[in-house]
Amino acid sequence: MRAYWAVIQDSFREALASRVLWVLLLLITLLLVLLAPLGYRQQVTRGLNEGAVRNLPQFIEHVRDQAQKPEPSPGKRIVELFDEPLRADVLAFKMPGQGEMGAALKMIRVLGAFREALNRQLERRDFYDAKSWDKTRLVSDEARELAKKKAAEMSEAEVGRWNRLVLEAAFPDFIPASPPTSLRFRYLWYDFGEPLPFRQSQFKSLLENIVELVTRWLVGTIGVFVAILVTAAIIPQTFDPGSLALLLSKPVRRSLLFLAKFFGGCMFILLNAGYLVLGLWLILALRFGLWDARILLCIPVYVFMFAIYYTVSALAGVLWRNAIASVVVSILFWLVCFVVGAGKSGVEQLVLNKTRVTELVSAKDTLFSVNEMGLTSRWDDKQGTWVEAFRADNEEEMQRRVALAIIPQVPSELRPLNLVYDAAGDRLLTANRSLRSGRMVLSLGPRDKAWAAAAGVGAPLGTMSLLGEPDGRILAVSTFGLYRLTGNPNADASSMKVLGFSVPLPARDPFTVVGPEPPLGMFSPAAAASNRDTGELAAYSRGTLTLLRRGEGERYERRLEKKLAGESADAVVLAYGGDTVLVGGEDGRIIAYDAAALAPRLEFAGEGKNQPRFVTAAPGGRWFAVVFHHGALWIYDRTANELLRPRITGQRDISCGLFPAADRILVADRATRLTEYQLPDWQVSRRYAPPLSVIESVYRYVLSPLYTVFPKPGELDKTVQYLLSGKETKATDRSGDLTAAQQELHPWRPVWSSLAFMAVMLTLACIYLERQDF
Amino acid sequence: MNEPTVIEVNALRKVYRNGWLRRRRLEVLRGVTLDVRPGEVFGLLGPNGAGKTTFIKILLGIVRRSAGDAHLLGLPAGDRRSRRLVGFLPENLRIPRHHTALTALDYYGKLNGLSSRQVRERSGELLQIVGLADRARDSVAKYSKGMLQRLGLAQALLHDPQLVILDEPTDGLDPVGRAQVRSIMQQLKARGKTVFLNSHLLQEVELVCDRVAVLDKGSLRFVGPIREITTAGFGKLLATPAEPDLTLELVGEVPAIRAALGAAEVVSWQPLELGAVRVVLKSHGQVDVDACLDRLRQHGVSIAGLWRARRTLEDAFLAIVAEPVEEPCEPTGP
Repeated sequence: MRAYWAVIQDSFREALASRVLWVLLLLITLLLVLLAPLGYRQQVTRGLNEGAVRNLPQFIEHVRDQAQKPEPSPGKRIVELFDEPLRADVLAFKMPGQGEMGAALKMIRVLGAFREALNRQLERRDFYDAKSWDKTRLVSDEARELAKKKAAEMSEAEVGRWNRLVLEAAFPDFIPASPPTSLRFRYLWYDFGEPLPFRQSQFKSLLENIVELVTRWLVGTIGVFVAILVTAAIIPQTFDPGSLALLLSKPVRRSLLFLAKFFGGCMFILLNAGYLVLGLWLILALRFGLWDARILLCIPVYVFMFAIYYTVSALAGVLWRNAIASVVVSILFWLVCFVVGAGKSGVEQLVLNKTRVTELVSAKDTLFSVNEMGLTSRWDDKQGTWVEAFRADNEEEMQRRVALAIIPQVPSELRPLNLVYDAAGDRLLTANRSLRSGRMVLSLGPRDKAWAAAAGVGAPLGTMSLLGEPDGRILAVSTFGLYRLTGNPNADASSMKVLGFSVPLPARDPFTVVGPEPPLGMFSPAAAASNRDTGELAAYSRGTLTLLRRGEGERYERRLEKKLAGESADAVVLAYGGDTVLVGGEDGRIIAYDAAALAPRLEFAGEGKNQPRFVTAAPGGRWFAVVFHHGALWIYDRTANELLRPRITGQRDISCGLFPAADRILVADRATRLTEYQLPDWQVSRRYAPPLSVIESVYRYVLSPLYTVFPKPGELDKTVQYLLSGKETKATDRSGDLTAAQQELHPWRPVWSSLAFMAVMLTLACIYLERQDF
Repeated sequence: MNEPTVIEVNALRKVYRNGWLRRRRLEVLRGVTLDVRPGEVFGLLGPNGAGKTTFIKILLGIVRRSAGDAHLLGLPAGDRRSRRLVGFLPENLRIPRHHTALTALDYYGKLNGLSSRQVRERSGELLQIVGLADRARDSVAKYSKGMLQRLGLAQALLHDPQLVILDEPTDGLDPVGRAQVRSIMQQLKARGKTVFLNSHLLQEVELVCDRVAVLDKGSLRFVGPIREITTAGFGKLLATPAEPDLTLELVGEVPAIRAALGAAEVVSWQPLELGAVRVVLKSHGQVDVDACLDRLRQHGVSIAGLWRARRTLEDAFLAIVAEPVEEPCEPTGP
């Protein structure tokens, strides 16, 4: 082996002799020196940064509406504190119409001035005025603690935090609850950028993304390209007649000589990637306290990425012994890889993923599915396919659909709340965020109107999910508590027709507050689930799991409360059935709690750090289904107290599940196909398999097989993301909501297919060399 | 033929097939048979395209033979074990530009299976021998062609091979360098090493080789000791050697000279200055020469000069390659 080591050693020597290498190393040094002073600091979350308000124009309209009313309100207080010109602007604020350029420019100016002025107000000790906040409920523990202090006793930071909390409480639909602390980037002694209201785990994730981005561009793109140019000549030079005869006269095998030369050629990228990643790792460790050795795994991954291109370059070099031919063939190869990858990814992101079933709702004899875009379909037995249902016929719905069609990753803002079947009213029910007002508005689809959706009244302030009670009634879970739908939720309920004229009636809220006291204070990340057997509820918010039972007057009251281990602000998904509460955390752990005392009965992390997306319980509470973001399905069997990964069709492509009965489960896979299994033996009892569309067929039978056998060097950044995060999916939504769609990474797919490709290329080159006369 | 051989080639043939369908056929070696014995310096001669380089490449396993046998040091030609025992200096050697003489020797030495220590021990001495000791740490990018050749020679000798194959070793060298290379070859011979030399410089071959082979258009035209090729007749005469002509420079009266020559067969008659004349006689043997000289002296003719015409290697070579190609010949012994 000494001879082959000598070849690799020689390649190392050759790389060090390259001026391009030293230039790149110098540039990397400069970059690292520039990045070294970068750091961060933690500060109390106060003020409103750019992304803090969900829809600033709608928020200003809301503030304006409050200010125009005579009674005191937070909106009125805000406007009162503005100086005269801004006050006038806000009171006259309206959204510009189409083509109103002047009004649009004015709006942009007002938006900037409004946020700036409001941020100044949030530093004032007199911002909070009890009268104005009279109707606002301060439900967070943090706010309650600060409320005990007088304004004069508070520190500046506390004043800012308190003002922020009261603002959030007043406008929960526009200003989501913020974490107590934010993180801010620093460069030397200077803060820059706006404070990021991130949890520590989100911040770590952000840093990982930055590292991945920097290495992908600097090493994966620029570095690999330069390396291809620089190393293209190595193989042709080796097989140059003047040096080849001497090499081949040595007691070495040609194929091993070639392979040694090939691996030696990877030294160039190894030196660059190694230096850069090591430097970034040290900066992250020393400046951000992120001692994560997994970052160093980027080095072999990018060397591997280069090696894929280099196999093509090397084979071309062996065949034609020309450096230019090697470069040209490598670039052509990159182009082909890009086209195949982009084609498949485009079809997935724009078509297939959006049609993936993520919710199933059974309305007596009718089965509904909701896809990733939030569009509902009904299973039609006669046609044997899904038929669109629960569709609203209005301008806003049209706008929403256009946006959904264009945007690759559906933002949570555009998705409606979970769909529920209101058995009492025999209708489908959900809530959408209005594109106009920013408020959550109910959407109703009664059976007698062929399930067509119609706008209802506004949902209670801060509504985050809808739950069904055992008796079929609907509960709205909001930041401020629980609301039962008791009245008529139709939008026209507050008017009646008299002789063909609509006569308004006094407005009556169809929702009734049903506890608990004190309010729950459901702050994101939060989750809630109802027990279909007992009617109890499980609610989770910022690290605390609460069980609520129905007490007097059918109002909910706390039965048990437990602080969950781990980071207090971790997001979870949960399900409640029988005597079990099943909680899936963002760290990938699944914990089954005994509902009697909230004592953990089983803890499980069978999918590593992969995050669960949905958990659901079967009636009776024996079975629970856990669907992970990467498409794996696990079943918790209460009787055996174990979690199993069933061997069923579509495993790792499963998007959701539903228990239509105590011993049956419906599983959605392959985007729109459902399979019903009989438990516990997993016998298929029914299939709902809609015919494939043309695009799906092309994808399944052409693009997908082609893509499978093709190398995927461009996707190795996903491997890096996986190595950094340990998760096979990547959150694309900043809400931190675990049920929001995540991008699947398939981290090992590019590795296996590329390894196979490399093996083929290198084998071809070796066979050619062994058989060729030189 | 029971003597051990270093190179043993028997009816070696090589046909290259070119073109997309490999239909074009080019036969570059046509049944070559020869052997090289231990300790001799063997020269391979031939015009461009004769198949010399292909022959060497087959010996080293760089090119596969189409038919026939070839053995090096008792092992099949191309076998890695035999290559370990061979030092090779290729024609038009190119050494990667990132090397210095020391790193190049380290690289090629390790390719030959030497350890770093062994390379270090040998490098200094060899660089001294080839005259590169004072440029050992310079980049080869700054080397002249001659310096590269010397370095190539050093790497060929680095692992102390039993057989050294040198393809145009003095190409690009100045006269001093050539003399050094010749001296190295003599030293190798003195140490019992076998040298296989492929060179266009016939004079050089003549100076150092014990035996030569002439290859032309893929066919072996001559194999034998160097003196045989220069003194023997060519072509068909190789099998029946004849005496070369006798040249005389004579001073005397022309009638006397003519009378003295008598019946001798005069090839040419050339008058020189001061009454001298150069006469070339067909000679059949030393007895005829002695008789002719006696007669000249008896007629009072002074013999100013006398020599036999000796063909140079170049003459022999040109004569051989001018002959039409026939079936491969069998090698002749010394």
